[in-house]
Amino acid sequence: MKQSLLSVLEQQLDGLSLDATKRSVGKIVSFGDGIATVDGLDQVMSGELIVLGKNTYGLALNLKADHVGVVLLSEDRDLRVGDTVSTTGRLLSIGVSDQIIGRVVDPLGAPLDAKPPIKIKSYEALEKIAPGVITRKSVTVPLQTGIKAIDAMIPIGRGQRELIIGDRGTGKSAIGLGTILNQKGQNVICVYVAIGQKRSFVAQTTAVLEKAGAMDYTVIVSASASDSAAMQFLAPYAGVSVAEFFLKQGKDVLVIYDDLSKHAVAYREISLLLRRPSGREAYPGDVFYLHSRLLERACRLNDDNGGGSITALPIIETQASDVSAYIPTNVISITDGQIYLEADLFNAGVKPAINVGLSVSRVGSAAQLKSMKQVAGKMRLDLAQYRELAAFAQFSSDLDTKTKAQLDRGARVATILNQQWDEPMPVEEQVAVIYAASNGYLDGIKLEQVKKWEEAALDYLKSSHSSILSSIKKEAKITEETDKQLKSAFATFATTHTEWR
Amino acid sequence: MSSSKSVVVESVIPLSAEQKRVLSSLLKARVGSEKFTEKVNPTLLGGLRVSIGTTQYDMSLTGKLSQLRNI
Ligand SMILES: Nc1ncnc2c1ncn2[C@@H]1O[C@H](COP(=O)(O)OP(=O)(O)OP(=O)(O)O)[C@@H](O)[C@H]1O
Ligand SMILES: [Mg+2]
Repeated sequence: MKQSLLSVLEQQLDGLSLDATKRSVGKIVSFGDGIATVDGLDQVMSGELIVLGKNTYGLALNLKADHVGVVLLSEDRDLRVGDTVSTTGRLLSIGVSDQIIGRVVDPLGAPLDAKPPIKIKSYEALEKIAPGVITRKSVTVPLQTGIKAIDAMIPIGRGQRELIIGDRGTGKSAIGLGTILNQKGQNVICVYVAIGQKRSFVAQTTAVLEKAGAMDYTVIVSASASDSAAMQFLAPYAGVSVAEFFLKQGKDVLVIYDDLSKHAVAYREISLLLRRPSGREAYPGDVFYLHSRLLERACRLNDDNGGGSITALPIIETQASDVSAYIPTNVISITDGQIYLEADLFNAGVKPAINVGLSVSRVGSAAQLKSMKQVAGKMRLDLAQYRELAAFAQFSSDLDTKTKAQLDRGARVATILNQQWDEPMPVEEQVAVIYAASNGYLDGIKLEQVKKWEEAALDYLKSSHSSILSSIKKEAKITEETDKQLKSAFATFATTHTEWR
Repeated sequence: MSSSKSVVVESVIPLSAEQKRVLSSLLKARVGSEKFTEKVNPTLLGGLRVSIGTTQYDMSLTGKLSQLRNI
């Protein structure tokens, strides 16, 4: 035992050279509010990791002629004015290995769960240049969210950046987390970055993902509301660095930034404390760059470069539905589309509360399953007509039969799109349900029974006609044969279940 | 490097006359000035630490031990 310990130590120390080190040193002139002003440090690099005093770490952000502004990454309890400060020669990085899957870590990679330390395989720099144009290819593989309204009408592809935007409490996080739940068995690694969230929310989220078995392929990077502004500022970069570690292995990764509004606020706090000039809404001038350099790192690489992808779902919280505020407009312009959630819809019971008219996906339709495309186009039309007619119908009591039929159809389609956030649905089942709704198989069903019908019909398909579902999935489109089978299956189902009419 | 930069040499025990002479000639060649301030600093545990202006060359035992810690 003793012998083996010795040999392990010897192995680790073998070939180790402890040379003289050269570093830049300086002294703390003043500190407070998470910022230290440092004299000296002539050779410091912007963004370099700095040691202050014995073991307080900081980040050199402001390099001025006569001083350096350092943002503290840990508490300043042990610091004194006059303490020595020195450079480390290291840009900020996070230690990563395959073991990080299933863990909750802070932006520097330190575990926040009660599990053993993570064995590190490589250090990934937090700030990296995004992959160049030549290494990329276009988005062609769908990323299924499991949410009917999104997969049908706002499809997302692997490598896309799709913004989730809405007021507080409109179900933004739920869409991100539901999408993570749906990645089970899809060969996608998920990274959930919690920025400025309550610790209780992060703990609760971890528990939910754990229970659903989603932590088997998920990493949570968290800088909660009680952590320093510097940590919150770093969190999304740490998240994408973890994603890049898996990207390099050719894997598909999904990153959710929850949310970038709080990220911008943390950066504003740091900038104001560093006395940088502030602009619109008191944000510093480079706040656009803050998010563009982050979201540019989402990509789909070509086969020569491993063929992996990083899909980014950033979340932005609006105030009173104002999408024209500074940060929302910035992020809207950087992303490939947005999913717009509305408080009015949410309160009216539409969940997920997606405003389909204002939501778009600019690249995802190229990746959408053909069968979904076949049924989704018609549904979108039904829905649009319904919304338009419903507004008019409020004022008139006697409607002609055609209008009434359209209203009935639309109401059923809208009901079908309601979905619990933690019940993602496989795409082939989505296609079947939407097919039924837009082909009139639900027209006779009472509105309040539509959900029951959906559940029973899917059970029926799964147990008696599983070949239809597997064909939709495999053929990637509804063949004439499948079309016939679907029609007869739904007709049979209708004759055996008359209780909801 | 300009000769105006202050040079500080830290060691655990005071340097001998011979050591000082060698250091002076080395510094003259490298920095241009043979003047330096001596400082006794027991926390180094061993070796030397030389600061030229704001650049520090660490050849002390503590420095090496802290490198070990970072592996
Ligand atoms: N599709 C859904 N069906 C039922 N309930 C939902 C759905 N989506 C969200 N909710 C519920 O609505 C509440 C708010 O959701 P969520 O926390 O995701 O919103 P949010 O916009 O992220 O809020 P915040 O602004 O606080 O971050 C939660 O209690 C959640 O369970
Ligand atoms: Mg949320």
